[in-house]
Amino acid sequence: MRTETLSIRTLTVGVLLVLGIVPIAHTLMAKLHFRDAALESKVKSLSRVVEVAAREVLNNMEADMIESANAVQARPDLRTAYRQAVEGNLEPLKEALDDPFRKGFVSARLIDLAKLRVYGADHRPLAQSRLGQTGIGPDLPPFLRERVHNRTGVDRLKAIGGLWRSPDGPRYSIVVPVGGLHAEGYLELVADPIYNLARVGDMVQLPLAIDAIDGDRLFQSERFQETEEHLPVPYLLRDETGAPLLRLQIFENVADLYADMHNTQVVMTIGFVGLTVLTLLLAVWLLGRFVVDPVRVLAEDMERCRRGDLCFSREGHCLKEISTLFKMFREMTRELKARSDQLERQTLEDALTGIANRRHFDAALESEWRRAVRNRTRLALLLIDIDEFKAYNDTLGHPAGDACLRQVAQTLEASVTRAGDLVARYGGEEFAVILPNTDEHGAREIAARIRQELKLHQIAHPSSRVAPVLTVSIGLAIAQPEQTAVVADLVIAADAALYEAKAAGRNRISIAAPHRRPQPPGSEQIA
Amino acid sequence: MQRWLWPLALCLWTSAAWSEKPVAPEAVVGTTRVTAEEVVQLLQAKPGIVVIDARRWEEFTKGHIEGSISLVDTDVDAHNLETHVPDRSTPVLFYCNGERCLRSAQASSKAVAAGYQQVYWFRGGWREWLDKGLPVAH
Repeated sequence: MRTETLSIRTLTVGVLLVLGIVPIAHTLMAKLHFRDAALESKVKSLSRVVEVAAREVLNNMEADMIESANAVQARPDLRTAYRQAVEGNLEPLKEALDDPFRKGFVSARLIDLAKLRVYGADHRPLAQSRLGQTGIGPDLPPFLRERVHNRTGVDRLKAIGGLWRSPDGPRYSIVVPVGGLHAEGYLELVADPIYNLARVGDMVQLPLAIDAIDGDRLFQSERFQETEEHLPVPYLLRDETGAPLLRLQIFENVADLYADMHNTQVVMTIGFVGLTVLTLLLAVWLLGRFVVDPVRVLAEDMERCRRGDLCFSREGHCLKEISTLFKMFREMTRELKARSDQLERQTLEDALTGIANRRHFDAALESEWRRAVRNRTRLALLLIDIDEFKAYNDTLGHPAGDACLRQVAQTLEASVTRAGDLVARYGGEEFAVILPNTDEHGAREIAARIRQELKLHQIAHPSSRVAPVLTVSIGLAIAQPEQTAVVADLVIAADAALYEAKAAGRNRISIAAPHRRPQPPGSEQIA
Repeated sequence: MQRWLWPLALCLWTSAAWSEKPVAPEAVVGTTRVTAEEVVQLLQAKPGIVVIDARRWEEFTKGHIEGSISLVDTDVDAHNLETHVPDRSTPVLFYCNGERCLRSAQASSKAVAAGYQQVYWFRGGWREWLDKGLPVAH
């Protein structure tokens, strides 16, 4: 596994920083997009407002025109003049049609009257006002002529009209029957719709400009201004045939919108930054509490364990996975310790008898020797050999021999009861007993006790030349350890004493002389 | 039904009864019921017809069918009718505001009772006339 130099904390902080910076950067970058979208949405909604206002204005204008046209056709002088015109005298009719212009027909300022025209019952042009606007033409606009022609029955009494394009600009026409319900002929009232449409700006409370579709500006409100902060909102007004006729534009001041958007962006950015910082602090705290600190504690435990101290720290708050690591580490350590203890025992214990083995004996002797040197105390060593053990094995077999060794070991352990004394199997049928801080008298007593205990067991040894039961020879050596002396001398002395005991006929204790280097010691038999 | 439901039902019934305006009858005995289009045809077919506006005078002045005369239903009786229409064989047409107005129905039935032989009743009245965009006289 490759080790990265990154820590969990650094990695988490990095990821959270990226997560926090991305929306902030996105907010900054999306500013233009949001602005365009907001402007587009505003244009759409305002365009609808203009459309509604324009329709309202045109509807009102149409109602006013119908009322005016009906008023004109109902005038007795006009009806009389009409009948004269039908008979061929057009002059009175023209005069009657001029009259509304002279008498301020539009004094109510409801419509901008452009022309009055009269048609016969067959819809042929009869006369038109001499006053009013010129250039409108002598006949009905084509769409209106077609509609008027196609009417039948009571429909011919209804007012009909619409928006159309004249050479001089947009016009609105209304046709009503002359002669009321008898529909003797028709009167057309032509008005300039710009006069009425100019009110759209007042209705929506915004500057307004009206352009002809070919580009000429037909109207511009007084407070009209075109700056970067004024958003043009166009609305295309179509004539009755569906062709574009006028472009109405209102100008919305979007300075407030820009300011609002800027404020929103600042608030969002501050919000994101605050959120990111809070998240970072929380994440660092949580990581420290639940991951980093537990991992550090675990690492300290491992280090302590490596040094041999199996004391574990108390497990604090940590995540489930870390807790599992803790548990597994402790179980693993305990298991290893158990195995290690077992192995250690196996290396220090004699497999057959269960008492300390030679390795343990050597280490213990060395240790006790150093302790005796340090404390200036005496150290006694017994070397014990089973008499005629080869014959025992040969006679009774090796399993019996093994059992005999186990029994002797148990007897030795039973005889040596002081804490700190050590009974070990020295090798083959030889045993050793280390007796720290023991003088000759004490050692002799223990050796005698061993022999006594063994005697009590009465282990049969039929092939022994010494006795009918199992006996042992014991070599005893006592030393006052000095810095200059070596531990091997004590073993040699004890061994020599044992040899002496055997040579003297076995089944006895032989004592090496104290405080001197081992010489062939005098032997003593205790029966 | 629960005891408390009775007052509630009574309130609902009362408010419904109050909110409902009178509706003109479907037909008036002795009259011919006509529509706006038939009114126009009658005016052209029978030049001598007398159109009587049975609404109030204020309503008449705001707009009416061209050639009609104003005679409020409460003023309609045999004497008044005779003043305006001496000949009982002359066709007479009555109208008022429309189907929520009872004036013309009452006036036309009075005309029938007075012995007029050709009584026409324009039940749709002024509302229908305006809805159909027909010419208005002032």
